[in-house]
Amino acid sequence: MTLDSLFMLLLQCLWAVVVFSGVAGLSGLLTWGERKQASLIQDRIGPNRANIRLIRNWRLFGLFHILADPVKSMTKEDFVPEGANRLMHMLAPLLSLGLSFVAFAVVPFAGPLTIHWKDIPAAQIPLLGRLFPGDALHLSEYTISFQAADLNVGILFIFALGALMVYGVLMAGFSSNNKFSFLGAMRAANQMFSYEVALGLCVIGVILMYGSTNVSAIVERQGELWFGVIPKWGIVTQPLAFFLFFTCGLMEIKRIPFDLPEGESEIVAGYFLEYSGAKFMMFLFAEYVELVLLAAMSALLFFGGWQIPFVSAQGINIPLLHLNFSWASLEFVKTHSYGMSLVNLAVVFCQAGAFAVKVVAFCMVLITIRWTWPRFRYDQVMRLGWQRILPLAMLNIVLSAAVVLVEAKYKPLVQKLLRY
Amino acid sequence: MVPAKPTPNWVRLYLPELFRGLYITTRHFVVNFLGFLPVLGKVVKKEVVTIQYPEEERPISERWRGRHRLNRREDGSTKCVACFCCQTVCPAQCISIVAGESPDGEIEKYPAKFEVNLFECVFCGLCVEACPCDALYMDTREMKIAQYSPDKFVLGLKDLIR
Repeated sequence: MTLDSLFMLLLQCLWAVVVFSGVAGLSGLLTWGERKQASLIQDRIGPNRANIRLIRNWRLFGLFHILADPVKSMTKEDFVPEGANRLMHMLAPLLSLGLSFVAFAVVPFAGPLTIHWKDIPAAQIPLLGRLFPGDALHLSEYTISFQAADLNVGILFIFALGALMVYGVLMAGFSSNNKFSFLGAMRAANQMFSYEVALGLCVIGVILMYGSTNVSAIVERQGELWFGVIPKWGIVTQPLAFFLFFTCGLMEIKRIPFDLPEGESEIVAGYFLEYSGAKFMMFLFAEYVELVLLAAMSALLFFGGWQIPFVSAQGINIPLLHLNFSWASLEFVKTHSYGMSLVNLAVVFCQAGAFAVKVVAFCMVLITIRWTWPRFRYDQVMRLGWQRILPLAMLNIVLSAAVVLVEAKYKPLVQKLLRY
Repeated sequence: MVPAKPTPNWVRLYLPELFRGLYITTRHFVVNFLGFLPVLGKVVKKEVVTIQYPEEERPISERWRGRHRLNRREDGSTKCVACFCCQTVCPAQCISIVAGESPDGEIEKYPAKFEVNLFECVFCGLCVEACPCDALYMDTREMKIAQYSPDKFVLGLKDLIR
């Protein structure tokens, strides 16, 4: 192990904390945001009464409900039904919540940042420096990737976790010793397995198009331009795959219109029927984390992730219009030695902001969908999955393969014709 | 019998209607959201009609019936002459009067006890219409009549004469 790799490890730990707190914060906010958006959709006001008594009339549009709800759930009785498997009953919500958080490890939330500073010899670093005598931290040319784990099989990793999430639901349903829970778990398992096939096939089109299963590589390649002006985002190159992916994703996170595992009118509350208090809240929270995961995945694979159109670490570039502005030509960068690093840092912050905006926008779309569409019937869900989406996903693979071939063949010709 | 109209084909296609639904809910959201913003709120009229009750109250109409009141003469004594008209007409039987002999020579009786039980009152206003001498009114415009103890809901002369 060198000092460089240790530095990378520490950074990755930091990103893990950042991503975790970001996701947990957004999910917590969504528990309030969903109710607030739903009420505005239905011409109501929504939760706005929770306040802290010390500060009078300070309600912040009901934001204190985020604090009030957990306090309420935690202080409730933790009920385990008679005949339930206590261990499994306790593990199920932990598994659901834990796995949905782990999937965020491969989510890159900003573009790579290259530092041009100076090398720091180990002797100058307190404590840790002594472990690596003679080594140095090479910060004169160091690329930071904003991602907790840069896995080459990133997408597959997320799908693997998606498949594992079924276990949380199944364990909850089976261990509760309740017929309705059991039915809900069966429905959830059937539904999630059915749609995982279609979900995987949708993403194969994306993998073909961008030539990698590494999430950060996919996002990076979405910064390229078609005809020198259209950003090569997934929604442009894979429009059909996007809609199929989004539908399957909705199914995967068990939200309306596919919330059959918890269909209230039929099986009370489905697999978490026998849960109360903090465990129930963990299931609900896991649902919101999965919602954020779907939003993040849609943004990463189809809406360019952290990409801002035409803006990169080098400058602003639109080849078709012959617009080429490099950060290096800024007066500030020319006069200061650290100028380029500072500008790049600003770009990285903008990219992280762009990614956050995309994720939040997707969350809002998902919430709007929930409060608009009615629930599917069970046979309709299965027919939609196996007879409509699966063939379309297969068609999409063929189409994207054709597009990739055509693009490779005619790109120089188009470049010559459009003169960029 | 009205024959059922066949569903148009574009509705049976499902997708256009789904997106039309999304458009409607999004429109509601955007209009209400902008309506709550400080500056834009004056331009965009929000569709939310909620009245935040303890802080805001809806305007009460002139003829709104609230808590009872006994009218007074110029000398301060009640106008009520204990004629029992209100007690007789009351459908909820919430008024109970005990008459006493009035010291005034011109007036025969006065109410020694006049009680209105607000638990039983249905606020129909028949007592006000029955009153022949302009004594009983329901125009106090008081709607918050909640109390901590049940016996406070029985209004006596002290509470009624205003």
